[in-house]
Amino acid sequence: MSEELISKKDLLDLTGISYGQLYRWKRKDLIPEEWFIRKSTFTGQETFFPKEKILERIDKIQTMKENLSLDALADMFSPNISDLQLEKDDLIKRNIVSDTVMNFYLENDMNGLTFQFQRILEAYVLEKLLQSGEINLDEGKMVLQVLKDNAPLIKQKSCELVIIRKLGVSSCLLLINAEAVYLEPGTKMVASLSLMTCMEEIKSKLL
Amino acid sequence: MGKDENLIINGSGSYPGGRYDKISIRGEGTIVNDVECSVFHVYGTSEAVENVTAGSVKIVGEAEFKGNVEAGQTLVMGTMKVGSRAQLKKVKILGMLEVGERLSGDEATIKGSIAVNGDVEYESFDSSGGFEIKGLLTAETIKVSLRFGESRAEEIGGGKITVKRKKNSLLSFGKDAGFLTAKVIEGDDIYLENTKADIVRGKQVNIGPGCQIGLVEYTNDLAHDPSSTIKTKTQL
Repeated sequence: MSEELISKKDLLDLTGISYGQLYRWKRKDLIPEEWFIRKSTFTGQETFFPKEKILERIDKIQTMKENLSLDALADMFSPNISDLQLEKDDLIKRNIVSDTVMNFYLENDMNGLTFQFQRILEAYVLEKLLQSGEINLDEGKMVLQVLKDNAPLIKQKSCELVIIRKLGVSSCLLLINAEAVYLEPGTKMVASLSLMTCMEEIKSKLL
Repeated sequence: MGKDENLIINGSGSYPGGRYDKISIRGEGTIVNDVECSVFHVYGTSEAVENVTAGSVKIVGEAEFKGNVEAGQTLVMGTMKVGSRAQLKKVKILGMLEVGERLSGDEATIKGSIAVNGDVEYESFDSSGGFEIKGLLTAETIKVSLRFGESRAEEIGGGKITVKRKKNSLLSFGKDAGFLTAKVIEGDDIYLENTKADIVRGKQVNIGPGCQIGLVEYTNDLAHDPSSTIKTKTQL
């Protein structure tokens, strides 16, 4: 998962933002700490960013800051769970979870029809994986179990969900702040999903 | 929710945490668990083993917090040590503050000194004392008056950064002015005096007297006092 990097200077040049803005966004946690990568170059130390992620983030901030305050934006990007609660029908109406997946979710999770963020996330992850046909229903149950068992971790860290399969047997991993995964050649990575991105997607659908 | 109790330690004692209205320690006190209170005053010596959340904190004596501290208003006239993170919204340091990890909040006034092992993040940061920051110092406005000694930060970044030397008005020891050292200073509007930095980057850069800068990169303007040295200048 090595990514293309962009230096701070080039980034400011490309996006037209100033140092002041960049640092302000960093302070407001609009740009995560992990994206500031320090490297030494021939001119001394320079800061680099993962190019694709930072450009996408800055684009989002710039288009949305007209309507939203920086604090509201920070809430949106932060992996902290908001106090949000939604009913089953709301989730279906807002196209976060489809009818079929919702029924499957409720068969496996009997905690009622009111969804807090954690459960919304679980349902949304299932929705993505099942609808794309990457996993089957049994694997869906397994994914759900992993998400439920590790719920406290998911709230705080940047997690990635990886599903692998070998000779028809599947397994599911939750990676925390991982840089890369290497698999044995016979193993196939069926799907990998960043939970942070999922949270942002959900939040942007809710707004 | 009823009114919470006060915890007053006169003499010495060790108490559990929990919720209190006012905590006042005049002798020597230890609080062993997480504690939440509206007021936390220390006139003697105190130790909090875990995390502290308080509306306002006043330290006249000596206080050591082993965990995280979160406070609305903080005034330190003695010594305050925080083991992990400190989130002090409005903080005024007349004595000394030491933080093991990150220090953040809205408004900081430093007349004493701070030593932080992580980053320092404020909206406005005003120091006329000394600081030693191992990480990044960032704020919308950074104002540093150098009176004595050496202040140091690994990196400084923000909107408006002003560093000025200030002679001691009471005792003028001749050229005994303070110094600022940083590897990188980045901001929109920068004015520096008595500063040693490897790299300075900004829109408007004004290098005043007494500076030694390795490289200046500026986009709009660069002004430069003849008594300062700049090795390389580049306009972007």
